[in-house]
This record gives sequence, C-alpha cells and structure tokens, in this order.
Amino acid sequence: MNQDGVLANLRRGTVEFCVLAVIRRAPCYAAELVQELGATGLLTSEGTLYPVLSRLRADGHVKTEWVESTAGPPRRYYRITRQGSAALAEFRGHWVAFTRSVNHLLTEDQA
Amino acid sequence: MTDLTNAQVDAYLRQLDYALSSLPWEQRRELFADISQHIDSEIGATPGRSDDVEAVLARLGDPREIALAAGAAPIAAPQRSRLHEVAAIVSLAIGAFIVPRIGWFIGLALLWTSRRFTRADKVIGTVLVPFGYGALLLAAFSVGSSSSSETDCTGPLGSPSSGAHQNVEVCHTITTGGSSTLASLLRLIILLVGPTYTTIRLIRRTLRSTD
Repeated sequence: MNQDGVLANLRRGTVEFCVLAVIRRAPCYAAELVQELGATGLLTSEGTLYPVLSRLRADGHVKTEWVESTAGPPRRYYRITRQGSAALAEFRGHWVAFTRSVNHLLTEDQA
Repeated sequence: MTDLTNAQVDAYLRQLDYALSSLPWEQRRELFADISQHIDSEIGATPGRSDDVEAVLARLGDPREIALAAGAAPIAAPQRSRLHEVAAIVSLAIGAFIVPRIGWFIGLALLWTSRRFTRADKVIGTVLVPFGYGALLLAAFSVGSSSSSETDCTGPLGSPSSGAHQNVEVCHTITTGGSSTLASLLRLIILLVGPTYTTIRLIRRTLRSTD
C-alpha cells in the first residue's frame, strides 16, 4: 500500500470526528471550519468538507439553521446535537486506546 | 461577477453535478447547493479578478474528489469523441483515393485543427506523408515496373484519382528510380518507413490522449 493511500484511510476514519470536535467547541459556519481544518491537513481539499458535513447532518450528529448574511444568500450555521456529543465522546475513548496501542508498538519498534 | 468568472464557476459546477450523478437526489442537491454557496461567498470576499476565482476553485479541489468523498461512484472524465482524429488519419493515408484531388487536403485541415495532436505530430503528418499511402502504393508499383518502361507514369499514375502533385512526385521517383536497384530499394524503404511511422504515431496519439 502506498503512503498516500495510508494517509487517505487515516483521514477517512477520523475527519468526521475532528469536524465534530470543532463544531462542539463553538457553533460555526462551514467557512470557519474550512479555515480551522485547512491548516491541519485533514482535508484533501476544501470541497471535501461538504460531504463530511452532509454525513454528519444525515446521521443527526449536527443540526443546522439558516442564518441570513449581510452579503449573499443565507448560510448554514452548524451546531452539535446531543447525539453528536455522545458519538464524539465514544470515539474519543476508542481513539485514545487505539493511539496508545499504536504508539506503544511503534516506539517499541524504534528502540 | 464578470462573464469570465461566471463561465469558470459554471464549468466547475457542471463537472461537480456530473460527478455527483450517482448519489441520491436529495444528497446531490444539498452538496451542490453547499458548494455553489461556498464559491459565492469566497468570491464575494475577494470580488473582481478572475485569478481569485481560479484560486477559490483550486482550493475547493477536483469535483471528482469531492464526489468520491461523498460516496459517489467514481466516473471517468468525460472524453471527447476521437472521430476528428480518426478522420484526419484516414484522410491523410487514403483520402486521395476517397475524394479525388482534395482528399489529402481535407486530412491536412483535420490534422491541423485537432486539439489532440501536438505541433510535432502536425509537422510530421504534413511532411512525412506528403501524399499518403496512395503515393506509397503507386510508387512501389512503379519502382517495380520502372526498369521496363518509364512511360508508366502517364498510365496508372495519371488517373483522375490522384492529384496533380502526385503525378509530379511519382514521376520523379520513376525517372530517378530506374538507375539502380539498390537506390530503388532504398527509396522504397524510405517511402514505407515514413508513412508507417507517421500513421502509427498519429494513431498512438489518438488512443493515448486522455482528455
């Protein structure tokens, strides 16, 4: 497996929860998420954020409301749901255990 | 928004819509709305110049990538028909026989108006097969028979199916070709290799072109 594929798989499994974590910190617009996540390398391109948001909506992890903007059409304002918070907490548990195991094995390998 | 930005954005959204086409209608509509809105607000933030639009679309990424992230079935980039290139190759090779006199010139026009062939292809196509495979066949025939009679060139070569240029070219071949068998053979090889190389080159370009 090439390294690009590895990275793509890691992103695929985690990006939804990273987006969820940002939204949980403070409700926001998609544009703000793009800014926040753009620097992390978690998104292959800005556009791939939208399918993630679409899945989060479909799963009921976030809810949106339309907010009028001064310039242009109304925009979606994203807010985490109770269900989303629960899913995020559960993932966090998995993630901590998972990364601990991986880190342990990788550092053992190096030593 | 200028016409140019409009055209760029429209093209992008068309590609996106096409890439999303395997998704359920509701999901497709939502994603399309989200992304067109993203473009609107990004361009609204930096109004005017078209290089800004390019930057916005570049950051947004390949529509196919977005569609894949949304779980759409992967689709190949739409390919333009290769009819133009096929017609060019056929016309260059045997056009003189299909449409007397102007067939080769039709091929030449098709060759130079193609967007798939490179400039080198076009120059080679023009120079290396000056009169297509027709000339080759006639030349091969006349090289074989030239030793017996040089008046051959007014016979089969003067037929209406071949252009005036062909007569000149092939007659030239005959008058100088009778001198030595080796020279005739050499000329035949050159006449064979040139058009074959050109035709194969053009066919490969047509098949390999990915746009």
